[in-house]
Amino acid sequence: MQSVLRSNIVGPGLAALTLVAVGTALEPSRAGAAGASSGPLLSTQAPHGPAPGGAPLELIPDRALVKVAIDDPAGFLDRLAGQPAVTALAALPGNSVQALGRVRAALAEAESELGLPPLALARDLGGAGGVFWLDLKNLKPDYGLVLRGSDNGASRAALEVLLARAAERAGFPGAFDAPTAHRVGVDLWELGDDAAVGWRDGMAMLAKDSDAVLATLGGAAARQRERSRGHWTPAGPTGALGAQFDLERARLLAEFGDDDGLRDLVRLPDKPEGQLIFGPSLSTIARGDVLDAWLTADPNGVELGLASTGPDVVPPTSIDLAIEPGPTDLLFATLHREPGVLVDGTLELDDEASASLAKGLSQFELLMGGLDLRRDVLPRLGPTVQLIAREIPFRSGPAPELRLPALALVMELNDSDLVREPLVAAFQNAIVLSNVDRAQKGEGRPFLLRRAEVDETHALTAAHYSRPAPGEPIDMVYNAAPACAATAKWLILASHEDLLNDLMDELPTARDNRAQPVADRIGPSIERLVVDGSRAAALIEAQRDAIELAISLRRGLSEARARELVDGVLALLAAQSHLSLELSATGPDGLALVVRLDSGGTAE
Amino acid sequence: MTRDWLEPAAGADLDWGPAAAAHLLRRAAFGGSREEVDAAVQRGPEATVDALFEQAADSRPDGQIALLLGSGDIELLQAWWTRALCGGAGALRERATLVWSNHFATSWDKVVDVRLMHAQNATLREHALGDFRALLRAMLTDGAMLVWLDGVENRRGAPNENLAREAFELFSLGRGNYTETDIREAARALSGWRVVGRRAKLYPEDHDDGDKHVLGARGPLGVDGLVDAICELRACTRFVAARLVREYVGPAAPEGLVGEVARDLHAGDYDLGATLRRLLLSRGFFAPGPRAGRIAGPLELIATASRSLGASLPPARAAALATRLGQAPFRPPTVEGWEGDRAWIGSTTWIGRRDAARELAEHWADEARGAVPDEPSELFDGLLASLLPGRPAPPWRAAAVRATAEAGSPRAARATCAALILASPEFQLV
Repeated sequence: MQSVLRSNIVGPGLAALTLVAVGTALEPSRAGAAGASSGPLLSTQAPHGPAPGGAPLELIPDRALVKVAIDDPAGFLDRLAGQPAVTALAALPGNSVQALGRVRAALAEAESELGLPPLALARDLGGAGGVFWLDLKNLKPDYGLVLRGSDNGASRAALEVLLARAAERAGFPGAFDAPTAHRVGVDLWELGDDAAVGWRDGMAMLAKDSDAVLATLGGAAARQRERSRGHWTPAGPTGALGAQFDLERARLLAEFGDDDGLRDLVRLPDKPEGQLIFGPSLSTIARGDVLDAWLTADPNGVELGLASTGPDVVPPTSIDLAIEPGPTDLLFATLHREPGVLVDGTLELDDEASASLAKGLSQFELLMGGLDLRRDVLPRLGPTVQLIAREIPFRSGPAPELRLPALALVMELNDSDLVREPLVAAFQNAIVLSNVDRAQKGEGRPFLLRRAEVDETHALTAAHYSRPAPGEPIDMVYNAAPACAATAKWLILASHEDLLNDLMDELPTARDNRAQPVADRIGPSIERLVVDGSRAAALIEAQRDAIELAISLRRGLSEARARELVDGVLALLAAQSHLSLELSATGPDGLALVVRLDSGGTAE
Repeated sequence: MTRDWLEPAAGADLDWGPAAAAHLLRRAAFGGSREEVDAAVQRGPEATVDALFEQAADSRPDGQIALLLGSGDIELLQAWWTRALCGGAGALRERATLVWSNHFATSWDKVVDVRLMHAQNATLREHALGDFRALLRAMLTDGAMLVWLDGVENRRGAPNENLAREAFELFSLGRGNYTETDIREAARALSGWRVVGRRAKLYPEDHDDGDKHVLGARGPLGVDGLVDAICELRACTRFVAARLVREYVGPAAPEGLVGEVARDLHAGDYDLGATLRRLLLSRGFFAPGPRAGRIAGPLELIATASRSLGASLPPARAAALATRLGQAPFRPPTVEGWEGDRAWIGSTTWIGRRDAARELAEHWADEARGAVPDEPSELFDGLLASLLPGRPAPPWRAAAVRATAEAGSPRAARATCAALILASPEFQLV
């Protein structure tokens, strides 16, 4: 078996070691079958037997800028690729998932070069775990990659295959058949000036030079770290791919190095546009001392986590939720954004964007009857923003043939008596101007008809298009029946009156009279986004014929191809019952962002 | 020498072969693939025209678009029609529909109703090869037309003459064949129509049912009476004949052809299909002068290139290209429609035509496989035979072959070669 396999192997190269080590994914079933059911692919002169399990965390230098570890790479990949969403994504037709296609192509190419599935080699080399680190020494990259095989013999044989192929590709066949040195128990191969490979007791290592290999695989410091258990422990659940980034050192390097891109990235959290996009909390995630990250896959879904701790990290403030998430939500999002950023002149925008923003703000002030946005309005808008999308029940108007979900925006109002009516008036003025604009363009129908109601608790204005004549088809425009309401504490804007009415019923009236300053509220929550894939799929399914035709006309796809594409998207949505994104405080100086793709426990 | 130009071409007047067959297919039905041209050569002109009419027998439009009319998105409707022009069945009817859509030019820019525009397109398609009387009657009561020319505001006691004026000037008679009184009286005959529930409907209470005197006809005329009065006039047959000759034969049509077509229309009681059939087989149609003497309009150009290459762009993209070249489907610039011919060519649109040719060629090159030769001169000659059947090699052949050879990859060579032919004056003149 050994000789046959060896003779069939045609060329991995040094890059292949990196490829298999980082464990580029997809097609795990093949790798699983080769690795799990039939045992090691290769035999070797090294004694067979189990190597110590788990990622060799003790080998990672304390000061590394980037640390990555995983205990069971093959199992992780199996779980990841077994996710229905990944399967659906892979099955999407055409070039929809080009990155996935490139990964597949790279794997196929590597298999062609190696003569063996690269993932099987990866299993032999790193079946028990692996670590990677990156550091800078004298501003030059210094890295280490260590893979621990679950079987010493298989690990050694797999490494020899890769080295043999590397020698062939370099034009020196047989050059690496034997180690170039053996020191402190480590077999060492010098691969030129920029790389060295070592092997000891089932662990294979790639590093910049032989000193690094010897220091790591034979070094006392590692043994010390192992004995004291003082080494880094990845965040995240067992079985996750874990990583840690030393942000403090990265900032220093950015400041004193010559990488402008890194400098801009590090400074982004301090920029207003960063805060506008990511919010005041999330934008400080890069201000922590360290950033922990993890990616895990289990039968219920996939989770990506980021956690940061440090004195400059701003934990998210708690939010008084106007609306609680409900079972009929297509989308539910809660965000913290500082609206003042829009007008304080600190945003770095190009001329065109600045002009557009200024025009928009000026028009908004006009609609509000001349109120000053900066002085009168924005201070009274809280940073809490909720976005809710639901299907429209069409209780208050005709249901169109093509249906869209309704979207609502809920904002917090402070000291609302001063702005409640001007805000609703601005909405009314916008409706009037919209009608005038349509009339000027000669668009005779349909016009928006308004109704308004005001009492001591709220001001509400809703508009709807004039009802179609009997027998007249109902166009998509009837998905819009814009409405606006302001209570003592909340402002709601909705694309359809039905949704606004529902949300008004759901408002916590008990909270309406509570006036707690936002700055006083520090708590465990929350920015979050939840998307209900199955509801979105149902909405698409209900009008798939029209969607397929639109795709066909816009993209030039045949009917069959358009159908395949919609099938793929539906499968993708059905595979993840929920997509959620949650930002929460982990302590007084820490926050965590968790993105979860929930498959509803359908993963195999 | 006076000749009977509408007589069937035969003998020495008809050099039936790839060039003549391609001329017929391009003028009547946006061209065809090399196989379709070869089949036409085999069949002969009469059988080819018969086949074109047979394929165009079904006047119903593809009903799929009904799914998307509710979106109100004109771009989707433009894409839908462009798809039909570039590759749908019944190309003869599509071509005729395009001809009459320019005759009864109506723009979405004022109508702003996709459903009405689609309904008008269906009406044009229904009557494009039928009775001109019925077509004119349908257009004068068409919802989009009533909005476009203010027919919805024309009521008893408060007439609006726009529609009546254009009905004479642009749709049926031409200037000099009616009086201002005729217009006023015609407006009364057309009064009372409104568009309600996305349909045109006559409201008797708004219709002026009194006696009128239009073009020599008297009585309580409505739309039917007005159309009958118009169509009684020889000026009408001549006006319609001029449209047919301009579109199908071109500006270099033999003198006298319009008169003969007008007589044929009159004799056939405005049967557009029968007259067109005779025109397409006539000496005048196949005479050397008119051949390759018309500048193809953008939609015609894109449709012809698509059908000849057997590869079409995404419909929305093809419609966008036509728009850039000056012919946005469903959006003619004025009530007079697109001027056409030399007006198609300007400094901007000429560059646009070259860009469009390149884009189409790139698209074709992505799909072309196998049967296309890689050797540059073979590739050029093969493509020339497909795109310009029966034409001699142009003087720029050597330069094109050299550019093809220098293109790099086989795919780039295919794209370069096809783009050069599509952008050439030879291809752009139909």
